[in-house]
Formats: sequence, structure tokens, C-alpha cells
Amino acid sequence: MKKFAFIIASLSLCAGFTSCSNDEDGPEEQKYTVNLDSNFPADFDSEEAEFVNSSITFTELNTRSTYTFSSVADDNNDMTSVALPVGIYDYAGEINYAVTLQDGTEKDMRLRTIGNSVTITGDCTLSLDWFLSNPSEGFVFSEIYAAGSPNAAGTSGLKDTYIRIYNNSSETLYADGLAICESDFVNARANDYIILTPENDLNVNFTAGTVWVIPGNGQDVAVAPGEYITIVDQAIDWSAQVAGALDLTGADFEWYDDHAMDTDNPSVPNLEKWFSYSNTIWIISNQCNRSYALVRMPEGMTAEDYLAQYKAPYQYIHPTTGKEMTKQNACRIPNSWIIDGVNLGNLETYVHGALTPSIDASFASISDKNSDPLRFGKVFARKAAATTADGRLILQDSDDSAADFILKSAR
Amino acid sequence: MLLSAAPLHGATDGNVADSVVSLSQSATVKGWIQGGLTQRFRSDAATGNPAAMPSFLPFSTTSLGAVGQLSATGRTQPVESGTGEMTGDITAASYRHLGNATTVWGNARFHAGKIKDVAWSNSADYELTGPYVIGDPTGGDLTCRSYDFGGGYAGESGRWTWGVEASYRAEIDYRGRDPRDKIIVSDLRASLGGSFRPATSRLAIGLSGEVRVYNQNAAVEFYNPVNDIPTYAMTGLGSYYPRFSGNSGRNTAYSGVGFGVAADLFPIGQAPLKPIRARLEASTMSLRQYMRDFNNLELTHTTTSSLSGEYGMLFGELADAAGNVAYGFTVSGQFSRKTGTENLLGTSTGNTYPKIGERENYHRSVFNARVTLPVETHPSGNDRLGLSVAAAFGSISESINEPLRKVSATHTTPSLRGDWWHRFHNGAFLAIGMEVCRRFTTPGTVRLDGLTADTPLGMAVERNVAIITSDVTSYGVSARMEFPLVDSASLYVKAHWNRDDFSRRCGSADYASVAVGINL
Repeated sequence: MKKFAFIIASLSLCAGFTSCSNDEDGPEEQKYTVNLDSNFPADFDSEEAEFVNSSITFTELNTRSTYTFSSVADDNNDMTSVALPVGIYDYAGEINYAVTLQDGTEKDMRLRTIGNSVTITGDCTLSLDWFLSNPSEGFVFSEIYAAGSPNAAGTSGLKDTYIRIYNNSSETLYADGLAICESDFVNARANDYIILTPENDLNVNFTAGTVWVIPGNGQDVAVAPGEYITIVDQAIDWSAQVAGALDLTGADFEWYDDHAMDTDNPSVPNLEKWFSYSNTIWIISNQCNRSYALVRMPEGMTAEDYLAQYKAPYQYIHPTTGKEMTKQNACRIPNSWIIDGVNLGNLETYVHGALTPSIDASFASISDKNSDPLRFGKVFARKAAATTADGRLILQDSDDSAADFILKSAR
Repeated sequence: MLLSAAPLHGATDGNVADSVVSLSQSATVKGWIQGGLTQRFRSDAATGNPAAMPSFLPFSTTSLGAVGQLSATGRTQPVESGTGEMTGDITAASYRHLGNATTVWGNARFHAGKIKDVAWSNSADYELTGPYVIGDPTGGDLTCRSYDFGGGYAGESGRWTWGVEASYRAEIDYRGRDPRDKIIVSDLRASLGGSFRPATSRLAIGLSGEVRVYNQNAAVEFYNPVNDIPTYAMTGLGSYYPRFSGNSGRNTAYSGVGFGVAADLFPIGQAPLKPIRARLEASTMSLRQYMRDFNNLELTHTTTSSLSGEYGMLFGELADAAGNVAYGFTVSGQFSRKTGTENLLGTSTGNTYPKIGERENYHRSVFNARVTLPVETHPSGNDRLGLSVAAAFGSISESINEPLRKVSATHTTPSLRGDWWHRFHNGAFLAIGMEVCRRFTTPGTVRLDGLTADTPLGMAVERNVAIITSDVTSYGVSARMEFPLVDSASLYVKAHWNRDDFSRRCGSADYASVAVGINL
């Protein structure tokens, strides 16, 4: 078996300081050598891995220029550096490899690395933290309708919003005890805080602004393979108010704040409200610029236990004023509890998501513009990757929302 | 002038004694003299250096007028310039010899109207601010209003003259529907010059310098809450700055300073019999673009450097008398190069974006050379015929490095112009002119990597490319009539029309203007 090594091959013929002027192609930008220092996860065994291919793409944030370096198994190159011009870059890389299981079958595996806002102004070394990225075989977010249907004037979204949780496995799973959490952070440039509290580092914990839990004793909410449950804001017939809006009276659950501003459908069970930043009602962000985590709460954990251990303030630096601030009302979700997560945003203002890249490497975009009025009526829907022989859909889940989700009409 | 607009009058004959005598001439006689080849040659030689203005005209004159302009340009102008305009001016100008050694001049203009279908630029003065403007595909009619003021002073002592001139333009452009532009321009120019006439020579050597201070604020608003018009921070040839495009950044400002120096040679007085004029001029203009919505972030800057030169001579019988024939030549050349640089910004900290680098990504070079051979004859004391043959050669090249896009072309333009002037017994005169020219274009490189042709942005770029690479046939007629009102005042009416026919399916453009005024 070929010994595994992270192999990339530069597509550029001129690396480093050398400027190769080619009149036909225009003057070449001066580039700097970026040495890549890879850190692999502890549970990755390079001796057992058979390299298939790899690639890493750098996207310059000012100009959106992309630089892709890739290699395949038969390359003899063993370069661990790339050449990039001055800029600030997001990068995303993957290594595809195969392992042989004990029964002799081969299983495809993937390592990924993600980075944001890396500044290159000269020769430097970039540390790449790789993580295992493999599709989940359980509950996933299949649809998130956060924008709502347009109101009669088309200027805002109604509260006919919903989240759909899908059983992507081949076995019946139980949804009670699952929590739906909205991020406390907004995935936008104007809210790009510098977090000072280590426990709120997204690579450690997910900082939640709301925690809603599906009630039950663990065997109450059965979801068959290929089936889903729909959780809504207000389980009413919105189409009676505005033509084209949704009739949500058939929802499985609704999140209800016991407040005059909310509407309760007594025929639809309510989620348990463990935590909310709002003192009145929670409305899922119709700017579609927050992150959502599907969490399996530890067995036996109560709301009181959870809040006692995981509700805590955090300190941050405000991006506009530069002042140190304290956010009192927030909770933490250990990343190890998260079974699925989705970053939402728009191309104009997105900087990075509130989820660690190993849960979601990118984001699903509602629009290329901020506050786009055309977002109303659009739902994020996970793509179907395959269909089993019995007609069950297997949804795509590569922990990369940009690849896994599409936008479609909610009507 | 180096960087400023030319004054409304031509040059002067610096012979003071002649000027004192000329003050008594009627207004129509002054108009007749100003239209002659010899006076036009002398007037053109004096513009550009305020110290040469005593030689601009041999007499004092004042003009008040109103002009109406109408054009329909269709696809013959870049998208940033619109598809036509309907504008009007009210003007006032005066040129006075005060005594033997002092000349003053001044002008004022109110300009108002509408430019149609301006798109992909929400800034004014695109020739200066481009390509770094905020652009959108919708655009619309732009209402414009500007106030121009200028004036100067020149003094003489012996063989030395000196002069100073300043002008200021305040402009506001706006649009009353989405995207709602509101553009405010402040443009100040000032120049200083001096000249020396060597002993026994009737030519003076001049030096002048000019400074220009330019500011513009361009804001864009959308009143429609369901607005879906995208805006982009344009960077040339259909490219834009992705990071600062969109709803978050629509308001931009410009600030710039320009400098120019020139050396010239110009004739003084009615002699020499064979007047000569020459001029060499160099200037530079730097302009910075700021994004007002990002804490006045400096996003881009341009530098435009220009070099121009001109040499001309007149021969023959220059006096305005029956049977005289005057002829001459003028050779001129101009080269300008604009470079555009985009700043690369790092991660924002407290709404401050650190500059981590820059890239000089945009280049535009324009070269023009022209030879003009004018001839003027006087069949009688009250008739004047002029014929002017010219040939011009030019080239233009515009490019960006990333993505690689380049457009270039060379042009050869022969032209022919004829004028006929007739003076009536009461002093009134009629002038009719006709001109025809043909621009032969040889397209050079046309490369537009990464441009999607069937998008609004792609179509706008391809339209601009078609204009640069088109052949053009131009023809036009003009007429002017001037009547004496009283001995010291005359009424003039002018009309002008010309058409440009473009190849490459650009269509045609029509330009028309009518002016009426009083000369004193």
C-alpha cells in the first residue's frame, strides 16, 4: 500500500518570487511561497490510508479570485507549498482516501480542512487542521424555511416558517430528546465579533440563542426511514391570510412562547422551551443569516440541569465600536452533541459560520445580496444523493451546506 | 488652458495701440474679425497661458447668450454616457482691455438639463472617475445642473506679461426614481503664467502652471422596499470589486488633485507676417475613491498622466482684404495614460479595514496626432471662403490584468471642412459651414476573459467595445447670422447639426444646437 502523504501539485508554472511575464496572458502577479503544515486528527491512521486524490482551493476575499491546487494518486510530486499573491483568503481542502475494513471491503473516507480570513503578505507557513468528514446516517435537517412567505405587499416575511427533520438512515429512529438550536451569532460582517471567552470558541462549543427540545421519554416520537417531522412557528393556515402562504395546521410540532404575541394550535404538540434569548417570542431569523444545530441532548438531562451547566455569559469585542462587551443571555452546546448543523447567510455579508467547520464547512446562501426582498418564499432544501431500491431518498450530507442544499419555492 | 475648460473667447492680439483703436469697432465687425483664420490662429495660441491673454483679441467684447442642445446618441456612446441629452445653457462672458497694460476677463454659465438612460455609472464626470464607479444595470435619466464661474487678470510691463486665472464648477446631478442618484461635484482650477518677448521679436515665450482640486460625492438610494436592483463597485471592462459590492456599499466619494505645466510660443500684435505658435504641455491628475459606507475606506485610486504638443504656422496675405489668400498648417499630438490601482484590504477591526496590499490592475492609453491644413481666401471685401483639410491618427487601448481583458484599436480620420462668410451692407453677416470626416478603424486585441456575454453587464461591455472598434462617418452643417442692433451691440443666432453613423450595428447619433445672444 502506498504510504500516505499529503500530496498536492501546484498548477502554476511559476512559483515564489519569480515573475514570469507573458505578454499573451498579461503580466503575472507577484506571488509568495506559502508552506503548508498539515495537522491530522488523532484518530486518523495514515499507515492504513490509501491516497486517492486531494485538492485545496484558496479564495481571495477582495477579488474572489480562486487558486486551486490538486493532485491524484499517480503524481510523483511531494510539494508542501503553494504560491499565492497578496490577499486575504478563505481556503477549503479535502483529501480523499480509502481504508480496508476488517472484512476486506474498501470504504471511501475524506479529510477536510477549512480556514477563514488568512492574510498573505509575504512568504509564510500556514497550519492546516484536518478533520474527518463523513456523512451522517441519522437525523438531518432536510428543509429550513426561515424567510417565510411574502406578505401581501411583498416587503416582509410571514411567520409560516418551519424546520423539517429527516431520518436519513435505514432504521426507525426516535426524535424525542432532539433539540433545535439557533445560533446566538449572526453570520454577517457587521456582527463578526472577536470572541474572548474560550468556552465560546466555535471549535469547542456552539453558542446558542435558543434551545427547543422535542418532548418525550425517548420512544415517543418514532420517525421511519425516509420520513420526516415538521416543526413550525405557528401551526395555522396562513393561506387564509395571504394567498400563496402555507397551511401549517398539519405540523408535527410547533414552538410556542406563552405570550400574547404567539399563537398556539392546541392540536399540535409544543416543543419544550429550554432557553431563548427573547423575553417575548422567538421568530426564526428571516434574514437567513444564522446557524442551526440539531442536537441530541444527553439521556436524562433536564432543562434545569442543562441551564445550570451550560448557560453562561461571554465576552467579545464589538466589530464596529471596538469595545469589549459582555453577552449575558446565551448558552453553549458541546460540539460532540451536535448530529447535524447548517450555516445560513448571504454572499454579500457572510464572513464565517457559527458552527465549527467539521460540522459545516461552508454555508447555504439565500441570496447574493443582503436583505434581498426576493428571499421571501424560498426554502433551503437538502439535495437527494440517491434513491434506494424501495424508493427511499438518501439525502446528501457532506457537512458542506453550499454543496448539500439548494433553494426552492416553499409553495 | 492646461486642465481647465477654455475660456469662451479666443486669443488676443497683444498690440495695445491696435486694441485701443479696435474698441471703436462695431459688434458685428468684431464678430467678423473673430471668425477669420488669422484671428482664430492668434486666439488659439493665447489660450492655455493666462499671461498670453492680452493677445487673445485686439478689442474688448462682451457676450450674453442662451444655448439649447439636443442629442440622440442611441448606442453610439458608452453606456455610462447615456443615450442622448436635452440641455440648455445661459452664458455670460466678457473680455476687457483696461488701459494699456491690463486685461481682465470673466465668464459665467448656468447649465441644466437631462441626460438620458445613463447606466452602469452612478458618478459624474465618468472620463475622470471611471472606471471606479458604483454601477447598476438599470440606471435611468439623470437631471443635471451646474454653475460655472471663471475669470482672470493679466498685466504687462515692457516685454514681460503675467497672468492669473481661476475657475470653479459646482454641479448637482440627481434622479427621481430608483436607483436614486444624488451627485455633487466641486471642481476648482487655478493657473499662473508669465511670458517674455525677446527684443525685436514679435513672438513671446511663455511658461504656465496649473492646479486642479476635485471633489465628488455620489450617493445612491432605493425607495422601493422590494428593490432587486444590484449595485457593483466597478473596476473596468465589466469587472467589479466583489467584497464591497452590494447593498452594503452604494455611496462613494472622490478626491483628487492635478498639476500641469506648459511652455508655449505665441504671436504678439498684428505682426509677425507669418505668425507661429507652439505649445508643450504635461499634466498629471490623481484621484482617490472612498467608500462612505465602510468608514470612508479608500478603495481605489487612479493616476492620469498626459503629454501634448502643438506647432503651427500661417503664411500668405493675412490681412482681411479682397484677393488675399492665407494658408498654414498645424500639427498636434496628445498622449494620455490612466492607471488604476485597487487596494487589497484585510480583516476589519472595529469597522477599520487595514490595507494589506494593492494591485495596479487597470490601464488606459489614448494617443492622437493631427495635421490640419487650412486655407482662406477673400473673393471680395465682404466674402470669405475657408477650406480645411485634416488627417488624424489615433489609438486607444484599455485593459485589466485580472481577469485578463483588453480592448484596443487604431483610428485614421481624414476630414474636410468648408466655410463661407458673407457680409451685408448694413454690417450683418452670415456664415455657413459644412464638415465631413470618416474614421477608419482597425481593431486590435479584443479579449474579454470570463465575461458572460448574455448578461446585462456583458452586453454593456460589448456595446462599449463595438463603439471603440467601429468605423464612423460624420457630417454636419452650421450656420450663424449676426445683426447689428446698435453700433455697439449685435444679435446673433447660431444653429448646428451633425450626424455620426457608426458601423458594427451601433447605429447613428444626431446632435443639434441652437444659440441666441447679444455681443457688445
